Amino acid sequence: MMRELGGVFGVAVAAAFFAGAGSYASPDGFLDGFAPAVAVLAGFSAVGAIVALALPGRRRTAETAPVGAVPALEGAGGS
Amino acid sequence: MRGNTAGWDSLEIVGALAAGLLLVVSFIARELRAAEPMVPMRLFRSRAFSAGNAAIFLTFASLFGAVFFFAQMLQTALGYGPLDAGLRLMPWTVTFITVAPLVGSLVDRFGERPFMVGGLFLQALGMGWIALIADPGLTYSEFVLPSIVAGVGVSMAIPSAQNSVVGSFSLEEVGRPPAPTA
Repeated sequence: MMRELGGVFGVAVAAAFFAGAGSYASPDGFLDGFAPAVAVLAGFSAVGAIVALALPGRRRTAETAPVGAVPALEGAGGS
Repeated sequence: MRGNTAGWDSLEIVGALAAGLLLVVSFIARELRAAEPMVPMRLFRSRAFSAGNAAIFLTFASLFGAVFFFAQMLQTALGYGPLDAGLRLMPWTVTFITVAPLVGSLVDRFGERPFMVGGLFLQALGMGWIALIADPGLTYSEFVLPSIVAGVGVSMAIPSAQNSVVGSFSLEEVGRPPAPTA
């Protein structure tokens, strides 16, 4: 579900930045919008990297079946 | 999509945003009270689940925006036809089917976090690089290396993010039809 939400969100925000700065009228006009749009998309990834730092570290139970192996809610937060 | 034409403070835009927000809030309120919620809100107490989902959201926001604009860039700015544009995206897209399975097996040994953080960092680096070189002198050969960097990055992040989210619930919480994963 997050994939679809993220996908439409990313396209919508990038398209808004594109339309704010560039157009499809000419190759140069396209690049005028393309650069800020891609910069914003790079920003999403950078924020994602910071968010990912909050993930718990290596799971000790990883060698067993991936689903259900983790004491789901409390255990996942351990150091 | 119509924000710039309709005006960001127009009734259409403000109304649509407010309606969307209201629907999200009412969904959460309903889920908190439902006997068998579709997305049990307590899952979000797990950092693996909530940070994983947030990271997936941002990863796909970045990726789909790139899918949308890279092909257009090759066609509109560099003047390739659809087939030529598609072929020139392959160094980027081929990372999805080569790097991702490899990372999938490494995640079980090293945990998700290094791959998510490193992958999203590479994705940000590649995309930022492309944004910097995107001026009227842009050529395909300048684009290909950063696109590979971004592709490797996203291919590291996605399988790890899925593992993080799916691995964060217990078995009895899985299997309801619209599983809240990824």
